[in-house]
Amino acid sequence: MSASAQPAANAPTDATTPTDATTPTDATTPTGATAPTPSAADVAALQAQLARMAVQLDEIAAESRRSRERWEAIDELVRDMTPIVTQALERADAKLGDLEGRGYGEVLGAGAGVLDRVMRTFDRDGVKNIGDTIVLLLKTLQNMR
Amino acid sequence: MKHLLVLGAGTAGTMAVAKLRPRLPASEWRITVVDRDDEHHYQPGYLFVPFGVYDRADVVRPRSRYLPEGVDLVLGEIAAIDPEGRAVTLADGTVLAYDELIVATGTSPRPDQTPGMLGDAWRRSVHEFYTLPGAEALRDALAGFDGGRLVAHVSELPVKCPVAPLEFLFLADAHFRDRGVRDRVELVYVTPLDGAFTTPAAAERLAGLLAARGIAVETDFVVERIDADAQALVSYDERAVPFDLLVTVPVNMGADAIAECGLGDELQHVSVDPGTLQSRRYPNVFALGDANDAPTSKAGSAVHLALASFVENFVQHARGLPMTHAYDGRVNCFVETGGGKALLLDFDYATQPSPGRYPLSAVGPFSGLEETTMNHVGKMMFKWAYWHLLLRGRDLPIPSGAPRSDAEPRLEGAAS
Repeated sequence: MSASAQPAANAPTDATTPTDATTPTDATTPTGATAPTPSAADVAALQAQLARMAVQLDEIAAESRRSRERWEAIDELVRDMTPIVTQALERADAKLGDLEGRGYGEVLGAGAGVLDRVMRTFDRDGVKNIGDTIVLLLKTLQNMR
Repeated sequence: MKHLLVLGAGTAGTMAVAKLRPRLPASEWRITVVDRDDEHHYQPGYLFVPFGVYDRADVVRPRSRYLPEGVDLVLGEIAAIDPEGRAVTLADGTVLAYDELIVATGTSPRPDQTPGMLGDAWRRSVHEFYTLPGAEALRDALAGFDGGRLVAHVSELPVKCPVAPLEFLFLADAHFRDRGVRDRVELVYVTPLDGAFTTPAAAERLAGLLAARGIAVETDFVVERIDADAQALVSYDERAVPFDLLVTVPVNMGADAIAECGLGDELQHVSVDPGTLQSRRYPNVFALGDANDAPTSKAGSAVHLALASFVENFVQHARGLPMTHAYDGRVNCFVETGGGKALLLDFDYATQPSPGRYPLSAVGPFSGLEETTMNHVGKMMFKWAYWHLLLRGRDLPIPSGAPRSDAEPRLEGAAS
């Protein structure tokens, strides 16, 4: 609020307010010119516009509430999942460590080496032929029972 | 304009109006929910409070936040129900007339029903975890308990979530092991049943889990009183079970107003048709969840699974049509067994819990009657699903079928 807007210290206590009975019902401009009185149609249009704005504000408020709920749901999902995922990772890590300790890692590494040598030795058709041969061998073994 | 009045904005009342509001035209039906306060409690979470897994912020939220638009919430204590006059009176004198009434006032622990329970030892050496203050007091008691005899006890059935005392013992076993004092703690389960649980298949499985953890079981024990001086439970046949720390499940009873209006049985649960959940005396009165006397477990999942048929029936009833759907009594629950594992129980009025995979019969990921990590994940994620899906009337993103196993058909038998 600017200083000029402050009431003067010596302002009369019975100062006329804008709602005083002496205030003219027709609005007057600062220059004293009379403003046109809005028609009933103008008032109705303004009221309709205000009503539309109120509905829009309601929709915006409802949408922002829904958005907030969605974000809260996602945030809470992450918070709830974190300890569960952490526990699962710790268990998986322990399990892998256990397998490693029992020599699975070395066997798998050696297996990968075998696969690598196969890849370097045979082309696609060669691998396919080996597959056919393995199936034939297995069938032969099965028939030997 | 017709008026649907719902007594109780807990699990049953909130889920019911979330499902019913979109189905009942707002131009024809006004819906009002009454509860005593604006605090909605996630009651399955109480189990984890004594072990510090959950706290108040996890289990309490405003009721008003979970009621859909177009439902009025009235806060007040129910003083009287007048089914003949179709009106409910609140403690402040407000009278709410109704056309249809849904009673969803739940069931509550009543330690006053067992002599000696509410003595000087209450919340010192005698505890419960079926209320939030009780669970918080038990958390403090467990923190200072380094050895002695801990007895978990069920006073009388039916109680809310009848597996919860067993889950408490499994978690207590893991808790004391983690603290390195398990060898100094004796764990005992005292039950009025002749086994660990109501249904034989589940009782056998749960008895095996108790035995594997060194938890003793005292069966057929109907408590007559608590001898506070001797620190012992005393049964009607004069058996005494001493304790250093008692974790009891008091007698569970429905709201007093139900008994006074003649809607309920001796435990103040509304007498209903188990298929439609409609009052046996008043066709415009229904009772959902723990408030009714349907012969299934008192558990949130029972309400969730009952709502599918109930909502269709209520919409038919509201239109003056005969009700054509029936609730089969199905309930399922994850039973926390400690150490990051849980097992799944799923049964209904006619079928016992059985092994099998759920919801997909080939891969699960959940397993009936089997301790698995995935069941534990399901248990822990249920809190999120409860707040963000179920209370808002949304369905869980999984098929609703029961666990199935091609190898082992479900066992037939009466479930209680």
